[in-house]
Amino acid sequence: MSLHVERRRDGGLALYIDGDLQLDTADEAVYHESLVLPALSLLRVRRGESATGIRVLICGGGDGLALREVLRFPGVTHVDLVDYDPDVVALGCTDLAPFNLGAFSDARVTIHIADAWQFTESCDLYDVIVCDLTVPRRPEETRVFTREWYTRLSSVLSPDGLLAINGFSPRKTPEAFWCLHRTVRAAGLSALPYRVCIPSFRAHGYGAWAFLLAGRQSIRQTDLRNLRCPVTTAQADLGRLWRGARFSRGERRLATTAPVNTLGYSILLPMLLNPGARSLDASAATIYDVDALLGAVPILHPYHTREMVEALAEQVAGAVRAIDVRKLVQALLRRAADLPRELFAELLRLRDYLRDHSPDFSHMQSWGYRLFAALVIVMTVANAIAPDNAFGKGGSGIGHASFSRGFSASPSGVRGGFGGGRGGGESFGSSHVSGSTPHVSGSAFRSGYGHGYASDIYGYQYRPRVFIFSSSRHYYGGRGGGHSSSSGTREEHKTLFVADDDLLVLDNGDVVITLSDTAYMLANEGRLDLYSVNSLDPLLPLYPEPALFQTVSQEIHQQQTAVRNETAARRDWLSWVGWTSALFPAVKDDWTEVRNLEDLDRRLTSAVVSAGQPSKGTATVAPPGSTELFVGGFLLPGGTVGIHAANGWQFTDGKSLWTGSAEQRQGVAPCPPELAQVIRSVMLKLQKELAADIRSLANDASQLQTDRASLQRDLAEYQRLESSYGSGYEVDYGTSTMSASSAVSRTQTDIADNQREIEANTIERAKTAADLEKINLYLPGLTK
Amino acid sequence: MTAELDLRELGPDRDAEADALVFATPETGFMQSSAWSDFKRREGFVNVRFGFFEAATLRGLASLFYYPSGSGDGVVVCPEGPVLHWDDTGTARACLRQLLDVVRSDPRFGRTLGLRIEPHLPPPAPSLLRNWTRSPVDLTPIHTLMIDVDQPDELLVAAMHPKARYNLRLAQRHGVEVSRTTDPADLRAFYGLFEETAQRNGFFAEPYGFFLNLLAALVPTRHAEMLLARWQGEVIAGILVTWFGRRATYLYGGSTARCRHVMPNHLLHWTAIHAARERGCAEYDLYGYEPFGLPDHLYAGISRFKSQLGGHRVDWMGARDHLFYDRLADRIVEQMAEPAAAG
Repeated sequence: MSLHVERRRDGGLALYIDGDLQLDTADEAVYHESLVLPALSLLRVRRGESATGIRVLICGGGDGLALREVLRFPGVTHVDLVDYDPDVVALGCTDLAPFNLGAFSDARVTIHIADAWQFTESCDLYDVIVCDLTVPRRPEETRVFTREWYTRLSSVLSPDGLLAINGFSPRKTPEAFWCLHRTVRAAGLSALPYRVCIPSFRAHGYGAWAFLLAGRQSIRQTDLRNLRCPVTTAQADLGRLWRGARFSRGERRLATTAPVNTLGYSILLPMLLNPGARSLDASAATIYDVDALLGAVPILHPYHTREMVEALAEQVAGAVRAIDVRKLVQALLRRAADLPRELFAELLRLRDYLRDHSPDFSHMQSWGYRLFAALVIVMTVANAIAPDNAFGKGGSGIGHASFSRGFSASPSGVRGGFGGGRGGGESFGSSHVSGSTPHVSGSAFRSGYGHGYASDIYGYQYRPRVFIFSSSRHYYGGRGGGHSSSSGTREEHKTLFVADDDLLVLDNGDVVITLSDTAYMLANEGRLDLYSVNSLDPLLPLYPEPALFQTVSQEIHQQQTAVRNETAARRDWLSWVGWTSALFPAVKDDWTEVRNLEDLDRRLTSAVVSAGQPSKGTATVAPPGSTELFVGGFLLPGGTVGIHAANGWQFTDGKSLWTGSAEQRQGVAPCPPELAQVIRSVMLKLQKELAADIRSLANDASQLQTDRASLQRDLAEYQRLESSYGSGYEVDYGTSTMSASSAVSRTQTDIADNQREIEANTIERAKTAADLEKINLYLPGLTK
Repeated sequence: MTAELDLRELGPDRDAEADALVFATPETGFMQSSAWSDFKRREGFVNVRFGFFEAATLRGLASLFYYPSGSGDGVVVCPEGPVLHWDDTGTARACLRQLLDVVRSDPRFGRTLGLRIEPHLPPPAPSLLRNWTRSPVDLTPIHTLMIDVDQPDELLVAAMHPKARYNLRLAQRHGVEVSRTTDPADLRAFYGLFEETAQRNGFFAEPYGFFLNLLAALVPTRHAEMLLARWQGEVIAGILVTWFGRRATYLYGGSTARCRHVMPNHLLHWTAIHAARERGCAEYDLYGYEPFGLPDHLYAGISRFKSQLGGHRVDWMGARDHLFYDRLADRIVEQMAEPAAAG
C-alpha cells in the first residue's frame, strides 16, 4: 500500500492511498460530517437529548477525521479506533493533526493498530460503529464488506445502535453499491443509503459518493429528514441530507437484484471493476461465441479499462496458435468425465484430426471452435489478472479496422483487401463492429467538446481535421454529375466526433471516411462521394456500397447508445444535486456535460440520417487480379485504376478518364487532376504500408531460417543418439525429456511447421511485393 | 560441462550481491533488481527471489512475480530474466527445470498456469526453449534503440538526425531549461503531461498511483529521476528515467502539444544522456521502437522521434511461456462448468 500526501501552498493537504484520493482537507468535512453525524444524531433521537455513555467503534479512519466528528458529539464517552495501517495513523498524529484537532490525544480515545476483523472477534458492545474503510482494490480487502462482516458487527452493536458505513458511488459503480446495500441487509440489518456531493471526489471522477446508515431497528428516509444534529457543521448540510436518500426506480431495482457479497462468493471487487456489467459470469454469455464471451471477461484490476481487456484478448487470441494443441487435447480427454458432452465430442474429433494432420490453426474454427473459445477466455483472464500486462511494451500495436476497404467481394468469394487482407478489420467474427457497447469516459465532454477539439467515446481529445466543401456539392469535372465548376458557398466543417480511426462525424452531422491526408469519402443521403481536400466539389460519385453504410450506421448507433446511457445517468444524478451548481463548479460542469452529450446524441442521429441508406444493391465484385485501394476503387492489372462509380465503372490512368472497360475505352475525357491526386495519395499511403510490411516479413523470414537451421542441427543430433543408443534413450527436448524416437518425431513435426511458416511467409511476401511492385510501377504514371 | 547449481530462496541480506549480478549480466535488466521487487510488492505482487548457487557463490538469479487474485489463476512472471549463463546450455536447462519445479509446487504461486520468462536474448529463441511457447504479452519492448553514451559529445551529436541537432539548438535558443528532480511534488506536473501524451497517441496510461509507488521504491535507492523541461516558467515536457548498473532507461515521458514549437524533447534526452554518463552508465535504452516503418503501429510516431536521436537497433526474442497443461485443462473444464449460485 502506498501513501502519498500532496501539500498545497495554502496549507491544505490531499491524501492518496494506492493512488486513490482518500481525502482533501478542502472539503473532507463534507465526507466526515455526513458519515458520522447522522448515526450519532439518530441515536440521540432514540435515546433522548441527555443520552450519555455513548461508546463508538471506528474501523479504519486512521486519519482521525471521523474521530474528530465523533468526539465533538455530546454524550460520547468512549472511542476505540482500529486501523491496521500504522503509517496512516502516524499521519493522523502529525500532518493531519491540525485538521483532526488533535483527536488522538483525547483521553476518551484508544487507538488499536490491528485488523478490524480480529478486533471485533472479542470486544464489548458499541452504540455506534463507523466503518471508514478504503474502497477495496484487492480480493483480501473485500473481507470487511461481506455479509459475514456485517453480521459480526451486528453482534457487537447495542440493540438500538447504528452503523455508519462508507460506501461507493451509486452512479459510477451502481452494481457494487447496491451489492453492498443488499449485503448489509442480508446480515439482518435495516440499511438506508444516502448520497452526498464531495467536490474533490467529483473532480477525481469518483462521482457522487454514498453512505449507508444501518441498524437492527428499522431506519427510514423520514429519520434522515427529522435529524436534529446538536452540533454545527462546517460543510455538510445535514438538513438536506434526506434528499440524497431518494433513488430512482431503476436504481431501486438494482437494490433487489444485486448479489450478496460473502466470503464464499466474493463478487464485490469484480463489480467495482466492471461497472455496467450485468453479468460477470462469462459462461452465461452466448456460449462458444468468442466475441460475446470476451465482452463478458470482467476487468480484474483497478488499473484496467474495458478497452485494455479487449486489446489484451486480441493479443491472446493471436498467441494461442503457439500452444501445444495435442498436449492440451490429451490433458482434457483425461478429464472426460467432467467435460460437457459437446466439448468431449469435439475433442475426440480434434484428436483424430491431429493424428493425421499438423495443427493448422486456421482449421480450429471447424475442428475445435469450442476449445478455441474456452482457451482464449482462460488465457485472457490469466493474463488480465496482473495489472502490468495491459501496459506491456512489447511488439504490439497493429492498427484498427479500416472503414475504407474490405467491403467488396472477390470473384472467388474471398474478402477483398490490400496486401493480404489489410482492410476489413475482422475480429473473431466478421464484423467491424465490436461486441460490447463502449462507455463514455474521460473529460472530453466536460471541456473540449465543441471548443476546437474533436473527441471520441473514450474521452480522448483530438485536434480536429477541417473539411472544406461546397454547399451545392455539384460534381467536379463533369463526370457523373453535371456541372464542371464549383458553385454554392464554401463551407468549412471540423471533426466533432471520432467514431473510429478513419470514421469521423463532422460538426454539421456529415459522415466522413478518410482515405489519406488529402482524400476522403463523404456519405450523404445514401450517396458516397469521393473528395479531395483541395477541391470544394466531390470528384466522383461512388457506388454506395450497402455493407459500408450498414457498418457505419451500426458503429454510430453503438456509440450513440453509450452516449444515451451516460446522459440518462447524468440526468438522474442532477435531478437531486442540480440545485448545488451555484455552489460547486463540478456540478456546473455536469450540466455542461449533459448538454454536450445531448448535443452529440442529436448530431449522431443527424449523422445517421445524413448518411442515409442506399437503395438496394449488391456488393461490388472486385475485378480479377485487382487490388483494392478503397471502397469501389481497384488497381487493375496493367496499371489502370477502376472505380465503381454511382453510374457504372470508370477507369483512369491518371491522365484520362473513361467508361467501358480497362482495355476498351469509351467516352474518354481528361482525368481531373484532383482525382489523380487522390488516387496517388491513397497509393502513396499504401506504398509506405506495403514497404513496411515487406521489411517486417523479411525480418520474420530471416528468423525462420535461423530457426530452421537450428532445428535441423537438433534433428541430426537426435537421430545420431537414436542410432547410437536406441529409440528409448532419454534425451533433452527443450526443458523436458523424452525418448530419442519421440524427440526425432517432434523435431520433424517442428521442421514441418517451420516449413509451413516459411512457405506462408514466402507467399505473403510475394503477394505484398507484387502489390508493391504494382504500385511502384504505376504510381509514377499518375503524377505526370 | 553442466554445473550443478543449487536453487535457494534469497533473503534481503543477499540483495546487494544479487543486484551486483544483475548489473553485470547483459542478458537481463532492472526488473530483476531488488528495487524493482520493492516496487512490485507495493503494487500488490507476490515476489519471491531465487538464487542459483555453486557452493556459496551466487551464479544465477530468478526474481519471480505473481499477482494473486480471487477470480482466477495467473501466470508467474520472471521479467527480464532469469539471470543465467545462457551460453552454457546444460546448466541453463538444469536451472530452468528447477525453477519450473518450484513454480509448480510453491503455494505462494497459487494454481499458476505456468511460468513466463523474458531474458534479453537475440531472436530466435534458443533450442533450449523448444517446448516453450511465444507469450501473448511482452512486458518489455522486443525492439529498441540503444545509445552508447560512453563516447564524446561530438560523436553523439554526429549520430543524430540533422533535424534532432537543429531542434536541440532551437530548444536552447528558446530558453528551454531542463532540471532533474526526485521530488514527489513534481510528479503531478509530470503525470499531467504523460496523461495528455498517452491520450494524444492512443496509449494506455498507467494510473497516478502506479507512479507514486514507482517513485517511492526507486527514488530512495537512487534508481529513478524525473527530468522536466520548463519554458517561460511552465513545465512543458518531462521524462522518467531509471538507472541500473550500466544501463539507463527512458521509461516514461510526456509533453504538451501547446508548446511543441520550442522542441523540448530533444533537449530532455540530451540531458538524460549526460546524466547517464555521469551515473556511470554505458548505454541509454530508448525503450521501444518500431523498426519497419509500419504506419499503423502504436509506436510509429514516437519511433520517428526516437530514431532521430541516433542509437543502434537492438532486438530481443520476446517472452516465452512454459504452460502447465494439466492446470490449463483444469481451468478450461471449470470454465465450461455451470456457474455457481450467487450468495
